[in-house]
Amino acid sequence: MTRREFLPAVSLATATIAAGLGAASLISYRDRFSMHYAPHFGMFKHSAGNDLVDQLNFAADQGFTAWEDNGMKGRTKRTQDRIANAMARRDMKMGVFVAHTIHWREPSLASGDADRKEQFLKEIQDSVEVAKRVNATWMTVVPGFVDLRRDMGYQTAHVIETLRMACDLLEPHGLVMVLEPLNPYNHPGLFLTKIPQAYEICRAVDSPACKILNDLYHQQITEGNLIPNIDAAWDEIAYFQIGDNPGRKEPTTGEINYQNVFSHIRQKGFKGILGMEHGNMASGKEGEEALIQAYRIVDRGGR
Amino acid sequence: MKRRLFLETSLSGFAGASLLGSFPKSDLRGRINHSVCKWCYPDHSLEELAQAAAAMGLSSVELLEPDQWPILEKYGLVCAMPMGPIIDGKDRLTDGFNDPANHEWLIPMFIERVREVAEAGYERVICFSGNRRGMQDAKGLENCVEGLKQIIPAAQEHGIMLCMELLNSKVNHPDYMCDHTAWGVELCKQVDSEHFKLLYDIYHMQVMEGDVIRTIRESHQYIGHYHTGGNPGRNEIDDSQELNYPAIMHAILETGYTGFVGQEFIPTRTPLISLREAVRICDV
Repeated sequence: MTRREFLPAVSLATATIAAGLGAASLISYRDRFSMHYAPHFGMFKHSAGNDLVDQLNFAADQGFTAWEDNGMKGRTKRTQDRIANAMARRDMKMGVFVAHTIHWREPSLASGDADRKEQFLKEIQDSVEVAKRVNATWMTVVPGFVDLRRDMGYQTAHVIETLRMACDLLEPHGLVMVLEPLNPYNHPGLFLTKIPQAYEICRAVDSPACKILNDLYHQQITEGNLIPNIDAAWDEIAYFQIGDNPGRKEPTTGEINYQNVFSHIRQKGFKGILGMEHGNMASGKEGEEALIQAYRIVDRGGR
Repeated sequence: MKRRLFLETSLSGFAGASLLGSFPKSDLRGRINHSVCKWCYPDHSLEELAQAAAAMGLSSVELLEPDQWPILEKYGLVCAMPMGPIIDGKDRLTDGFNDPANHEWLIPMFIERVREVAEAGYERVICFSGNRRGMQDAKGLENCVEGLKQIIPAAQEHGIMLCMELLNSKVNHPDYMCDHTAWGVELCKQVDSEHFKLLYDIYHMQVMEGDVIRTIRESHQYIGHYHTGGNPGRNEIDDSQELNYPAIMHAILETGYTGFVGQEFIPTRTPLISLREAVRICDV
């Protein structure tokens, strides 16, 4: 048995026996990934069981140093605290949660509608509290559906205006909303689709509290040209998400050469989080092992 | 002498011809028909490239003029994508079928080229849309249909397929009209013949639109040829760029494609070694 195989076995055994974290933390630096790839709840449930903290600990044992949870805002305060404490013990960084209600079918921020704006700002205000409780820096914002009754220029101006007001709420706390363009194949009709468009908005908002979430899966579908867009929008990109295309599964299962894309991002000095917002190619425990192995392969450039 | 320089010199010179024997005898799978574009190897004569390509297991060198074709025969190669015709004062890529003013020379010359290609035993010929120059895409499409339809009977008679290449208009060919698959597919539908399809250049389309595998799966019936190239940079297709070429090749094979894949990247390292690596990457 090699060291690599031996350690997780020990950690799982001790975690089970002691139901505690003291023993597991002994191996917390084992084979850590070179960047902060962030899994989410459910991704390792066959290996780690249904308990959220067990899943976090399993991921930490595998060398993951970050986590993301889109639905964090909907969890009880007690659960949020429990997750935050477990992550602090394992020295894991908290990634994004979704900051507000996303309007998938009707215009919201793009319309300039006063009620929509008020609702959005209220939800951002509420998200400040959540972010602080779970030690998050970044929260996801999706400006919603297009407003077909307005020219694009007006829609863009409306979005910028509302985001500026949201920045006033976030900036004092050092928090950042990350704008996520989504692909029109899975989500037809949304306002924000392209990296150049997100860049235009961030430059206009002009705040450290408003940056881009570049989901490489979405962008490969929408516009391709991943590395040139990463370079061109670099100053405004604060967060990445991952997923191969087609299929939205782990790297190595599609057309994106993630090993090289990650090398490029690493070489640019990226210290932030790359959320693993994708499914598992294969099911069950074997699928989870294959996913972890895929990340070890594509992370090779950094170790 | 640096090793790289030594290899380069050895491979490119006739004195080094014996070195070509040092390429491992081809053990390619034979599921992909490999081809290479001559223009990417300016420091090698066609003779040298053909010799090396044959030794590596490629079956074609492409984008060649009729007077170059006979050289291929010596090495048991074909020209999977022969060049289309051109006249003095015109540019092959920018002066194309979208401008009716070009039809006057394009149509008779393409009819003649189709005949020549058939006589040589080849099956394809490349063509281009031309630049927009302020023209609406819909108008350009209409013009292309009108021009191409006049060549289809000759193509049918000789069993030749015209392939219009999809190029990027952001980096290499600003203002080129056939720069999106959707436009090209619409053109194919309107020309409505098995003798006109697209040349889907994976590099160019990654620059313009991404979503490569889905596009191939959905539109393969309108694709008659493929080109490669790494993005960004149009160089080697290995781990120096953003596409996973083996996955793309698997997707191409799954569509039942039996044509050629032409390597069209600009080597940054020893050219023939890069070519051999690219062929292996695509040999799934």
